[in-house]
Amino acid sequence: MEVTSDHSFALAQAPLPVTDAKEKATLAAVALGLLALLGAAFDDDGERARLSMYVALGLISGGTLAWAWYKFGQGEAGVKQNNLWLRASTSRGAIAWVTGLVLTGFYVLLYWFPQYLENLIRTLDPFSQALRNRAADQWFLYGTFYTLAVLLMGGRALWKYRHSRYQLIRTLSVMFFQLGFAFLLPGLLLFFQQPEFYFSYFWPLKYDYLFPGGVADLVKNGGLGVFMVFWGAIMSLVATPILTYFYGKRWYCSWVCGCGGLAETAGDPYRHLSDKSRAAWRWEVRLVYPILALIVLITVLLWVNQLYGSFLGEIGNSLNKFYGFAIGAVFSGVVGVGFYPIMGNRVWCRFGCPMAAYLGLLQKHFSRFRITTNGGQCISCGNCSNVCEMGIDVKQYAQRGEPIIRASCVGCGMCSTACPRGVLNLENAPERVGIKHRNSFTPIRCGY
Amino acid sequence: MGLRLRQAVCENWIKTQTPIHTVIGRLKTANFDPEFYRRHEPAIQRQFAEILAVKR
Amino acid sequence: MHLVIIGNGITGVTAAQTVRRLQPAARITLVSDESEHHYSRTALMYVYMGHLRYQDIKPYEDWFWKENRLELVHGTATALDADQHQVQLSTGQTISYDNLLLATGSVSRRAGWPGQDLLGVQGLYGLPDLAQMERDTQGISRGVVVGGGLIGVELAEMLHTRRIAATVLVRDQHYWGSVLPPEEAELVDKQFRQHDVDVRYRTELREILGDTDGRVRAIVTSQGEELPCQWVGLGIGVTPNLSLAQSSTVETDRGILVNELLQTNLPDVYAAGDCAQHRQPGAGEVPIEQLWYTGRMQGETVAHTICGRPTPYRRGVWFNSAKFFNLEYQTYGQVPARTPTDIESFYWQHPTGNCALRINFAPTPMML
Repeated sequence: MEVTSDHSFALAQAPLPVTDAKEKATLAAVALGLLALLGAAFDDDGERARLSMYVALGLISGGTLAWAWYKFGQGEAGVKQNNLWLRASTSRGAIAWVTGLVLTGFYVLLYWFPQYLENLIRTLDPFSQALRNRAADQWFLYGTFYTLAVLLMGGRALWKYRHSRYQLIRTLSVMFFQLGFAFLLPGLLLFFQQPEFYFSYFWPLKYDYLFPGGVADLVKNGGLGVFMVFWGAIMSLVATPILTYFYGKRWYCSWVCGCGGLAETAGDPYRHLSDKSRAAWRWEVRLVYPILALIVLITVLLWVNQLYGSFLGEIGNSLNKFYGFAIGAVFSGVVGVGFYPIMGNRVWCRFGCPMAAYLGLLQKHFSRFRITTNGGQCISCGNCSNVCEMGIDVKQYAQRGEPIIRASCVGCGMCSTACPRGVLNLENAPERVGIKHRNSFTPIRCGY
Repeated sequence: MGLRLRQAVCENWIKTQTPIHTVIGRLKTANFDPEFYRRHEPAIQRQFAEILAVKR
Repeated sequence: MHLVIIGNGITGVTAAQTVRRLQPAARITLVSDESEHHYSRTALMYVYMGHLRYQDIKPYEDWFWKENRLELVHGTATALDADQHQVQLSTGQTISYDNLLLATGSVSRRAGWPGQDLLGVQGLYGLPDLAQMERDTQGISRGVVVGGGLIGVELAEMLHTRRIAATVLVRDQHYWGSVLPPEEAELVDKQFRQHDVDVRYRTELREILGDTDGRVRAIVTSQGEELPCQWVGLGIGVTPNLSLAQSSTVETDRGILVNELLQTNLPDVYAAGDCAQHRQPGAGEVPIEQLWYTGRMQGETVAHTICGRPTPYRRGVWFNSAKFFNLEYQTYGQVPARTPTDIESFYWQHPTGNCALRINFAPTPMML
């Protein structure tokens, strides 16, 4: 017997959902692929390691897609959440902890001990040569895995959410931006001897794009470099406020951003794990806004140093080093992705990302975007809060008939997709039908 | 069925006894479906017009 | 003012919150024997299906009650002494009140079938029912659901997610015959078919058969057919919970009788939500309303009266919503199953049969 937090109520443990033979076969393919990957990592013979890597990629890709189709691609389209909180893999069970440890371990190797990944990196040399005209490095390995994860699990999301055109188009968008703008294009730029530049990442997330050092590096590459600096500055300082005014922060966080892209695809099975409590929200504001302030301060300090000589000494640089380690590596990488199976898929976006904080302030105070509540239709079932990856307790608004205007909302639209009564809708039309009735709903129906 | 409609708009139509032509014509204002969903208003309006034509 | 509310469902809790807003100084006590905290009854199915956990269907975090000075008492109210303004609890405690709100909700209805008390026969109304269903449906192969209404389709969907074969007995010739016109019911029937649910229309339950351990082993339909099954879900509706009211001099009929201010015959005693029966319901309205929405509205209305602002209960433009497997349903105003002769009905349906719209209107002048 499992006793829940309410002592008055004890619910028998539900039977574990059955994994049938066909599903097991697809999962076995993935597992074999992971084994082959391990083989490649430990094989010093380059030829054999490469072969092993190809087998691994084939098995993992084929297995994942077959599994996703089998689980979500068949039968009627609709909300598919059965057994979410019963399966060990998606309810912080043993499988989830192992997954978390493996992911965390991979990030630790990637950032601080890449020598252990050397065999794997070398297997990608031919691919890297073809795309970038240079040998692979740890970041190329990471980029390849990352993009593959977005594409494969993006396929899963496309099947799972095929009843919602909003989710289909949004998923295709993050897949497109990850593959095109965050993987192929930077590679091609290198191929043509240009600086490796990510057109889909901006300051303050990609903070060095507006650092004096980063700007100088780009500018010395001539015309295209100058354009990149210009692009980065315009996107950060002009386009971001304008786009956020019209569409909310979702135009970036759940449509374009690579971190968001991974969260929405590979992280989708974990979205419900984000903590909805008020205590978690307090941690969120305690962390994310100071991090935004810190990166703004560092940027200012570095420019002051640059323009007025280094009378501030090395403060800017030391802070920058600290930020790069603590926030850039530990927070966004190790914790941000490694803890997916335990803390949900948006840990970094919610607690750490300065871009999200910046977009959030704009969204809260200077945006048309809101999620409207359809009158008094809410039944307080909690499905909306459950699927909110940003940990917003959506039902608190819905059950009061209030629109949701929250800095953290990334506009993924899952609350609206999951709502069984059609109560929630993402809107950015000028204040018209929806907002005119914004607070007009009170459950009481006296007087008419 | 399978459509989401705005409660505030529908209630207002019912309370003010809005003529059916107006309702059919302004059906779009009551739509509460998520973005990018297929819009059915044209088909509904077409069918309403056909029924009306037959009656006259 | 000390307000004591019996029941922590949506009606009781809405009343408590409203009184707190209107009278910040009032003392408010909520008594419930079902759960320590308020939870959403409508979400029970999602816990069974694994979409949510029990803690996820609590509309408020646990700190909410303390911060809003809403005192929670866990126990059964066993007796009401209206002269002394006191309520007796099963814990031995006696609570005095200035105002008392009875929001005791419902109990599942049983029609007196032979075998209805066998193990594995139940309704789905509260947490004990959920726990019972969790226990009694483990490892079974077929369940029979009685009733072609909202709970009936929910129970069928719940069984479906556990891969338990489901048969639904529907009395009328189509699903939810008292509410849905045939076209809409056909769309729901399509959902049943897509989810392999065996629906028997114009079929009622005659008898439930048990095995030697007192467990369900089969049912017999009104056609005389015997269907083997290990579990029977009752979805033929609920009836007001009168167990406390009947211990007192509160006037009851099917429910606790109230006037339009939701006052009972006893001074300072009110009743609202599922358990209340309106002495004079409005035109076209039923005397006992058993919906989440009406419970919430009645709770808010009665709070005004309790706080010295007498407010008659008016339901306003009718609305309701539901979801049948993958098919969402919303309704506004009166759209009866059989369109009255003086009303015209416009019905449009998408060729896929996945969505439809019906608008009823008066033909002359042509308005809603």
